[in-house]
Amino acid sequence: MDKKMMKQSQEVIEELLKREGMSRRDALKLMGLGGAATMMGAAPSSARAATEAMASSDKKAKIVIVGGGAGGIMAAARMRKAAPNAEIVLIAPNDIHLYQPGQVFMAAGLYTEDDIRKPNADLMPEGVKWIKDEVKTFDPDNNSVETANNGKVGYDFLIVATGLQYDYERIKGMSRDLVGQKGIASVYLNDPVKGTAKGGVATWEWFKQIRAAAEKRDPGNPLQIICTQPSTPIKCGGAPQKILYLCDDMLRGNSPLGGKDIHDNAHLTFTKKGKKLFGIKSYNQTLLKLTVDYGNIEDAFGYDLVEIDPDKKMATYDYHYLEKGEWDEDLEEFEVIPMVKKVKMKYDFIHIVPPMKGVDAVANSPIGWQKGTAKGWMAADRYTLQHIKYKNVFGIGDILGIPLGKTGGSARHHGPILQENLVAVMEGKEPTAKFDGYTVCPLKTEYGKIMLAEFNYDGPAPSFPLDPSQPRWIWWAFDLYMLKPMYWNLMMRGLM
Amino acid sequence: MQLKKIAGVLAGMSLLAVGASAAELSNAQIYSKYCKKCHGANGEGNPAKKGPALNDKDINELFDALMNLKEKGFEASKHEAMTHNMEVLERKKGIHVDPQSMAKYLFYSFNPEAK
Repeated sequence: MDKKMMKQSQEVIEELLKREGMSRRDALKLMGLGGAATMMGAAPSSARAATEAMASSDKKAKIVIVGGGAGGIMAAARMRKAAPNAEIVLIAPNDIHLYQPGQVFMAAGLYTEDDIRKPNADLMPEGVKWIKDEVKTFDPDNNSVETANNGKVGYDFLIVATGLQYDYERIKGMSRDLVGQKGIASVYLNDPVKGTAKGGVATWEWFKQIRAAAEKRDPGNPLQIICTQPSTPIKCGGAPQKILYLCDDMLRGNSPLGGKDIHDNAHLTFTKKGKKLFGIKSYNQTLLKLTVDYGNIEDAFGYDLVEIDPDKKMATYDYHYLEKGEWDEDLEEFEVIPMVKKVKMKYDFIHIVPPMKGVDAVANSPIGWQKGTAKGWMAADRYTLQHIKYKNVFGIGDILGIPLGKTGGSARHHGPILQENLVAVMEGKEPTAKFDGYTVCPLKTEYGKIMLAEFNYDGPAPSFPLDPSQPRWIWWAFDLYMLKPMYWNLMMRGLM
Repeated sequence: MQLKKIAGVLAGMSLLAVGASAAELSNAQIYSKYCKKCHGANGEGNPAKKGPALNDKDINELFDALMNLKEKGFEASKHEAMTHNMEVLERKKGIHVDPQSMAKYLFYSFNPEAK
């Protein structure tokens, strides 16, 4: 890690620690972690550092980046340095850049909306032309995209960084307007173009309403709270559970609202279609144990929310289950027949995570998979991030139709791979850098503890020499105090 | 002395052989034993057993489908019966399909477009 970068991250760390008024002991702990983290992020191995230093091209090509979130800005920052003679154009409609991971801390009463916003102009790298517009159509056969108000834009190389879209309306009776009304919350709700994070605001209000309502109940007549997870891929896969556990810990009196432990006055149901809390065994074990420790949480697997009646406070689910069929000689087991039936669940409060999908421009063009399990998401190679058909097109971030997580940390790992591979293609070579599927979910298990669930295509992938399945204070402090400055100052500058 | 050594080596080898057949099947062996009947000897599919073709899918498509079936990420399985089948294989026969290497095997063995 070079001295300049080390100094820069040290300054960032000292600045925020001063601001937070941390004890010296805690500050030193975090600084050590921060140094280690930036080292991990910047140069995970000396081999990577060596190739990254070489990943540059003198070619005079035109690179177009579509999207101005974490992926788009990181790609722009990296390519601006890696391709000094290239013309780089970024097309994105958002005036404001939202630090989306902060929305969960907003829901917990620890961040405000202002804490997570910055003008995108402040992040746009020097020497990148920003067309403030939205791409409506991708036309990769003609190396061009069409914008809403600025006509067609041609390219030599394209980076797709559009992110995904929410599909609240897939739930019958649900709309964005209902978030914050009638006991309904949704931490995810935001508007990157307007720069608002209503979901964070609404969910903190929802916490307060729940606290007040629970104080009037007792264990014999508990408040009914539902937290949902949709069946689609989602960004920040752990967030549906983060809200569940933080809400329950708030009821134990551990949030900024304080108060007595009244969590037995509430019954929380976590609903999802899938059969596990987490796809990695050890992380799943931690969460199963956590559920038992809280004592008032019920996991309802097989339940996919399909309809809501906000006035009756009734949630309707497709309940998926398997029925035993004929004996199968080949499998030496009974065949199973997937069945569905409608089940209704009454609630007092509900936290809804919207179904999610690729943006229309990607889904409706040859950029997106037209069939298969990843239909509607970008058809990219799971390792090189290159489009499977159009060799001058790459992707970064949530839009990628590849397995596992859609997280900021994944996008951060996409960055150097994308840089190296795009440079190779610019130089007429084959892309050889491989993404390993890295995903990271800082899963809040209570106020003050996070299980830092890191994993990749091969399984658990901890960055630090600590058992990753153990929830720790150090990850909570890291997430709450350090990740945001690291995001703005290091990630968005292509430095990590 | 020599006989003891040879006996020891032979014993070790036979232990290895037993271990291999129980847990270390190759993708080809797994496919042949457990997948072929529904997905076809050449991945062409078998309508009678409701097994879709695998020989017309891009390697990334195969990988994504396998990861989805195993619910490795946050997305629910899109084919519950197949997810159940794979769970049974794991539970009853100790067969752990690795999505990365199985996708490679399926693509290069069956897809005519594979190079």
